[in-house]
Amino acid sequence: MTSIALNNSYIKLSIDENNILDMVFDQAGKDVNTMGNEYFEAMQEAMTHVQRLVSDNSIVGIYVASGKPRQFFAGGDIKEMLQAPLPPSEQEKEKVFAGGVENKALLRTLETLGVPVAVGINGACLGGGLEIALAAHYRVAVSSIKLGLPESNIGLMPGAGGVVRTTYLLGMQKALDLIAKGRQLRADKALEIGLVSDVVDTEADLAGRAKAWILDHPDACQPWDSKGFRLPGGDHNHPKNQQFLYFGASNVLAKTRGLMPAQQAIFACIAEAVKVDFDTAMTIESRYFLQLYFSQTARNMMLAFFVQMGEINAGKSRPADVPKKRVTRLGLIGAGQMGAGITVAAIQAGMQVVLKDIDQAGLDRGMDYINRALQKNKRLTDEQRQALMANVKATLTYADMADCELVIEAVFENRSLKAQVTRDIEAVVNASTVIASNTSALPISELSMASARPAQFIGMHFFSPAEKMPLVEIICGKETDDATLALAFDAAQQLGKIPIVVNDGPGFFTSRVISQTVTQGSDMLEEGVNPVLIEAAAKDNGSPIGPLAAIDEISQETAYRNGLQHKEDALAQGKPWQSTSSSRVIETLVNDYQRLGKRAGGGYYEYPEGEEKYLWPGLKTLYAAKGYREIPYQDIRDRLLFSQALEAVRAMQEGVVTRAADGNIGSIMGIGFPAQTGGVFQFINSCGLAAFVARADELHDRYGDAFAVPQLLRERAATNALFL
Amino acid sequence: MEAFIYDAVRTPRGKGKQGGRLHEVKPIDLLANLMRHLQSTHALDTSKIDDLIVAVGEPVGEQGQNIAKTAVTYCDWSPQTTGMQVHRYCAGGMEAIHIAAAKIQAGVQALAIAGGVESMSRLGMGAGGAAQGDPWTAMQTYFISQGLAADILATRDGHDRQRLDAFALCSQQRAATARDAGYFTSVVPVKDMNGLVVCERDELIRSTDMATLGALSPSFAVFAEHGGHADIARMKHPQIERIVYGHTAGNSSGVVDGAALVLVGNSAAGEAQGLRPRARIRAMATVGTDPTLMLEGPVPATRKALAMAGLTVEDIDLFEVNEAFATVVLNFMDTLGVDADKVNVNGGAIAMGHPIGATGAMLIGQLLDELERRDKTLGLATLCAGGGIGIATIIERI
Repeated sequence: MTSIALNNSYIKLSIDENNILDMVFDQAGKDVNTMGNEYFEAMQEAMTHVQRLVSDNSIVGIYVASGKPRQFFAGGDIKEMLQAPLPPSEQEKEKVFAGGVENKALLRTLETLGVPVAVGINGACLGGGLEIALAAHYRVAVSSIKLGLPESNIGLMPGAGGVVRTTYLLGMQKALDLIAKGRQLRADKALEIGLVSDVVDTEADLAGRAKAWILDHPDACQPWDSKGFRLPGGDHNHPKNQQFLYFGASNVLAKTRGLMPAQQAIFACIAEAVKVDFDTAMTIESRYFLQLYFSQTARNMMLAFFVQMGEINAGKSRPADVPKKRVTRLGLIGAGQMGAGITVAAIQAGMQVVLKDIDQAGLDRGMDYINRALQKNKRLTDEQRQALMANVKATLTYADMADCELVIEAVFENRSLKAQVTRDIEAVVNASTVIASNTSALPISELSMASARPAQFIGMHFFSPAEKMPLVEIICGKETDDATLALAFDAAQQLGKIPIVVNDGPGFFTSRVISQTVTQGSDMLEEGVNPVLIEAAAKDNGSPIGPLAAIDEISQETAYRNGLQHKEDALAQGKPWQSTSSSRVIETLVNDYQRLGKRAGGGYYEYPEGEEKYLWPGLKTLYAAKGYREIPYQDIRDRLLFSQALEAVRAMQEGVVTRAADGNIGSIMGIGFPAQTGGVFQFINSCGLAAFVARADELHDRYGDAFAVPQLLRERAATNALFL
Repeated sequence: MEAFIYDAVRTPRGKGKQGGRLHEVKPIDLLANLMRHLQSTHALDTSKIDDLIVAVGEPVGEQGQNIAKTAVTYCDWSPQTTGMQVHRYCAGGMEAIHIAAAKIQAGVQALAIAGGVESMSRLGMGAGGAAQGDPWTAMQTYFISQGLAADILATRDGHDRQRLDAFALCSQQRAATARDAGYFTSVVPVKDMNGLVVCERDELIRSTDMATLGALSPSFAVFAEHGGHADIARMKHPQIERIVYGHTAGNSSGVVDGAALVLVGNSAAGEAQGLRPRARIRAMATVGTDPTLMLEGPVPATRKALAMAGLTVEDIDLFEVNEAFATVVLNFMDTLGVDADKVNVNGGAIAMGHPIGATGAMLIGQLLDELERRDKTLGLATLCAGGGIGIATIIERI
C-alpha cells in the first residue's frame, strides 16, 4: 500500500497491492462529507494526481470510498449555499456557474480516464454523494443504506451531473420519479431500478466486491460513452414518452401551482437532456441549477427544511440539561379520532398504550380506527399488525394508567371535563407521571389549575389525523418545569413527530395564526368578494386548501359550537363579546340554511355525488346579490397570508413563540402555511421587512385592524433585523 | 395603392383521415390543382406573379420547408415567382392574403397568390412538434388544450350544451343546403395526374339531429382530468370555477384535408392580365388576446378592422366567423349583436372542417361567393388562432 501525499484534509489517495487506487473521502472536522468548496479544492488536487497515475500506467482502476464509518456522503453544503448573496451580482452568477461547470468537469474526467472506477457506498448516499457515485462505472452499496437525490425537497435540484446521469442511466420517466419527488431508496430497491450495480450485506464486503469488479473490467466505460448507446425508455420522440412529456409538464405546473421552481426545472432539464449530447446536457443542467440556487424559494426552503428543521430535531427548543428519556407506557384518555390516532403513532413507535374511554362503544370505535389505520400501512403483515394491536390496552378504568410515564388526555374541548379528567388521572398515577392535555386552544395554565402538580402539566397539541400529521405543538404552562417539557419533547420525537415549543396564550401559536386566515375568508365573503377568488387566492398562495373549504372540512356545525363556547366563556368571565364576520356567517349558514358542513351534505360548498365540489350559489344571493365587490386579486392573496404573518409576530411579541424556527416549521407542518415561503416568519424576511411593513400598512388602511403592524415588527424593520 | 381580389378558389374538404377522399392526395397536389386552375381560367402569365404565399399548420414532411416555392416549380411556373410559407396557426391562410395585399398596397409587389394548404389526414395536428411541446416552454407560457379553453369560455358565457349543439346543427344544415344548391362556386374539384376527378364535393357535411349530437361525449375533459389544464387556466384566471365540458366532436371544427388560394393584385397588374376584380380589401387586422384562453380574438379583431375601415357592425352584410368551436361564433354574435342570419350563412368548419393552414383563405372565398350570390357589398371574415391571435379582413365586392 503506497500513500500519495496531498495538501488537503479531505481526500486520501493510496495504491494497493493490485495497483488499484483508493480514493477516500474523509472531510476533516465534519461528521459527514459534504460537497462544498473544501470538496472542490480537494478534488481538483486529487484529480491532478489521478490523471498522472493513469497516464503513467501506475494504476489499473480506482476505488472510491468514504473514510467515515457508516457515512458515505451527505450532499451539498447547504450552510455554505445560504451564505451566497441574494440577489446575486452578474459576477457572482458567473462565478457560481463556472464553479459548477468545473466541479462537474472533475467527475467527467473521472469517468473518462480509461480505467474502471468503482465506488463502495457504506452509508447514506444523498445529493452530491450520489452524484459522485453516479460518475463511477460500478456502484456497490450496503443493502440497508439509502440513496437519493433529495434536493427538490429544499427547492434545489442536483447540479453536479445528477439529473443528466440519472436520466441517461434510468431513462426520463424513472429519473423524474426519483429526482422530482426527492425520493430516497434503500440500496436493494435502488438495485432493482438499476441505480446501483450491486449490493452487499456489510460495509466490510464493499472493497472486496468493488475491487474484484475493477480487476475483471479493465475496459469499463459509462453506458453513455459506449458506442451505440440508446437511452433507456426511449427519447423524447418515443411514443411512450409523448404523453409523459405533454401531460407531465402541465401536471407539474398545475400541482405546484407554479410555486415550486425546482419541480419545473427538474422536469424541463430531464426533457432537454435527451435532446442533446451528454456534455451539452450537463451545461443545460448547470443553467437550471444556477437559477434555482439564486432563487428566493430555494433559500426559504433550505432555511426551513434543512437548517431550522435540523435545529428543531436536534433539540434546540428542548432544555439541554435534562437527560433524554424514552416513554415505554403511554396513557391516553379518550378513544376518539385524536386519541386513537395518537395511539396508532405510539404503538408503531414501540410504546405500550393504555387507552381509556368512558364506555365500551367508544373503546370499540377507537380500536376499530386503530386497526383500520394500521391496515393502511402496506408494509405491515397481518401478524405484525396484530402484535401492534396487542400493545394497546383498552380500558374503562383509570387504574390501568398507574405506571405510565406520560398520560395524554384527548377528551372534548371542555374546561370542566378536562379538569375532571386531570384530577382522575392524578388520583392513580405515579408522582413522576407527566400529564399532557391535547387541546388546540384552551389555555394550559388555566387547565393546569385542576392539577395538584402543575409543574408536570403541559400541552401537547396534535393535529388531525394524528397518525399522519407530522407536527406536535408543545405548550408550556406558567408552571411547567423543564423536565416535563423535555419528556413531552422526547415523547413527540419518539412518536415520529416534529415538536415545536411555545408558551401559553389564547390559541397558542398555530390555532391563533390559522384563525386569522379563516377570519379573512369570512370577512371577504361578508364583504361581497367572489368566494371563488377567495379560495383560488389561497391556492395561488400555495395553501393546500382555501379558508372556506377548510371550514367545510371541520364542519360549520363544529365551528358554530366552538363559537358559542367562546361566547359563553367570554360572558361567564365578564368579558365583552362581539360578533365577528366568522360568527355571523357561520350562524347564518347553520341556523338559516342548515348548511352544516361537508359530511352533513354541504357547507360553503356543494358536494355533488361523483363530481367536483363547487361553491354553494346561495353565497352569492346572501352576500353579493347586487354583484361581487371588486378588490385587487393581490389584495385577496395578501390578506390571507399577511394576516397570519402579522399574528405570528404578535405571538412573538407576547412571548408565545420565541424562536422563528418553531414558528416557521409549525406554520408549515401544522396549519398548511405555504411551504415555499419557508414559513410564517421567513415569509416576512423574504418580502423584505420594510416592504412587508409598507404593504401591511396599506392593507391596514383598506381592510382594518387585522393588519395593524405590531411594534416588534416596526422595530425590527427599522434595523432590518430578520426573524431567524 | 389598393389591393384587389381577382379570384378566390378552394378544393373541396375531404375527411381528414384514412378513407377520406383526399387522403391519397399529397399536399402539393392540392395546391397544384388550384394553381393550374387559376392559371388556365385566367390565362395567367406566371412570370407576372410576384409571389405565392402559402400557410401551413404543420409545415413538416411533405408539407415542409417552403412548399410554396416547391409548388411553383412543380407546376412549371415561371421561376420568377417566389414562394413563401407562413405560419400563424389557424389564422395562417388569411395572414398569407394580408401579406400579399400589404405588399401590393405598399407597392412592393403587383400580383400574388396567397392562401394555405393542410392535409390533416397525412400530417395530423402536432406532426411537426411545437415550441410549446417543450416542457419548460409549456410551463412558462401556461399552455392548455385549445378545446378546454373553448369549454372554459362557453362556461363563462353560459353557452350550454344545448346551445352549442343547436349551433352545430344549424351549421350542418346550412352547409348541406348550400352545397346541394351549388352555392360553393369557388370549389375546384381535385383531379389526379390523369385528369380524373378524385373529389368534387365537401365530404364531411353530415345529416344529423340534436339527439345524435347530444349523445356525443365531451372531447376535452381529459385535459382537465389528466393534464391539470383546468388548474393552469385558473392560475391565470382565478375566477374560473366549475367548467362545463360542452364541446364535442359534433360542435367543434372537423378534421379535413384541403387547400385554398386567392389571387390578389393592384389594378394595373390585373388590367395587364385582363382580370376583372371581384372585390377590394378594405381592412386587415390582427390582435393578440389572452394566450391561455386563446379563442377570444374574433371580436377585437373585428372591431379593429371596422375602425380601420370607418365602418360599423351594421354596415357589414355578411360575416364569416371560423367555427373553431361553437362557442367562438356564439360569443361573436352575442358580443357584437350580430344577427345569426348574417353569420356563416352557408355553414362553417363544424360542418365542413377546418384544414388549419387553408381555412383563412377559404373563408374569404366563401364570403365573396355569397356576397355575389346575394348581390351584397361588404363582408367580414375573422378567425381565432392559437396562442391568442385574432385576425379579420373586410372585403368590398366590386
